Amino acid sequence: MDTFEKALLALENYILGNKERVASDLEEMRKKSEGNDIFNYVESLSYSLSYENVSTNKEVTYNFDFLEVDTYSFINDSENSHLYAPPCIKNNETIKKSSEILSELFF
Amino acid sequence: MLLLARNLFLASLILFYKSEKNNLTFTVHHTCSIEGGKELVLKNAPFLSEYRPLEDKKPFLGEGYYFWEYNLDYAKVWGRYHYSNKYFIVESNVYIDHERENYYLDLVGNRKHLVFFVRLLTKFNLLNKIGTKGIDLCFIIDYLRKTIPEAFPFKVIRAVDYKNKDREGIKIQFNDKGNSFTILNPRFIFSFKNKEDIVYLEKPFITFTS
Repeated sequence: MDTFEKALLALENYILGNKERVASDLEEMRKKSEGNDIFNYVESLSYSLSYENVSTNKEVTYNFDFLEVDTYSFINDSENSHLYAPPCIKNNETIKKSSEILSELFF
Repeated sequence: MLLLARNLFLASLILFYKSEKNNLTFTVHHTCSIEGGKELVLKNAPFLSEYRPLEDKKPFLGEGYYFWEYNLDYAKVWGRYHYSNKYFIVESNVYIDHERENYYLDLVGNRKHLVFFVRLLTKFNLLNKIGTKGIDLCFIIDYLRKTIPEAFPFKVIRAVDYKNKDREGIKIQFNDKGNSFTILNPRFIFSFKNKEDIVYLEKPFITFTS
């Protein structure tokens, strides 16, 4: 069992063995806490970590014979291929929002 | 003779640490008060950030020895506001033994560590739905360390210090599709629980005096 699993197990055992005390300790900490809580952060992080929220491009199945695959140009037929093109290839007419680079903020 | 042997040992240790396989080294900056002068600072830095909530001393990641990771500019900002513009900045290179058991928790660049920490926090939901909601991170870390040390055995924590201000940070979009961007100037914090947990690759030195 690795360090993380051991730690999780230790915490779980402690919580389950000391429910009332831990609940009371949490309440005390909650009262002492000021400002922004991290729960919203944890909530959104948990959400982003969940498998259901992994966004992927729609899967496309190509049904080609072996010989065709060898010569088929996926790049030309992929409507998203431009996403991976280096910036110099992109159409310069699209002016991106400029980065907010202020030298005094570079820390 | 003994001194030579010791120096050779240290040199080989540093070479080992710097080898490609073990290259987790960081340049770090520590801001401290100018009080006591250079000699005292060089002898004693870094200084402990004490955890005393009743006196409003609540270091972000609990009590420990704090550094900014390669961030001289922000170390200066810290000195300006926290030491009334009378401060030293001590610089050094430290080595992090990321393979050492119970040693390092990286909440910056290691997804496995982040997932673990989120799982750890959500364990408190075994009690009730509210769990750790509304509780600041410094309290949670201090509580875990003092009450259930087996659940939080880490000696070194690395975290990002985000500010709740949109305009701070150099945000740059990846491309013109969607809203994905990255931030080019995040602030990374190192917190060492104990002084002896800090492994220096070079002697700390004063890199800036206000």
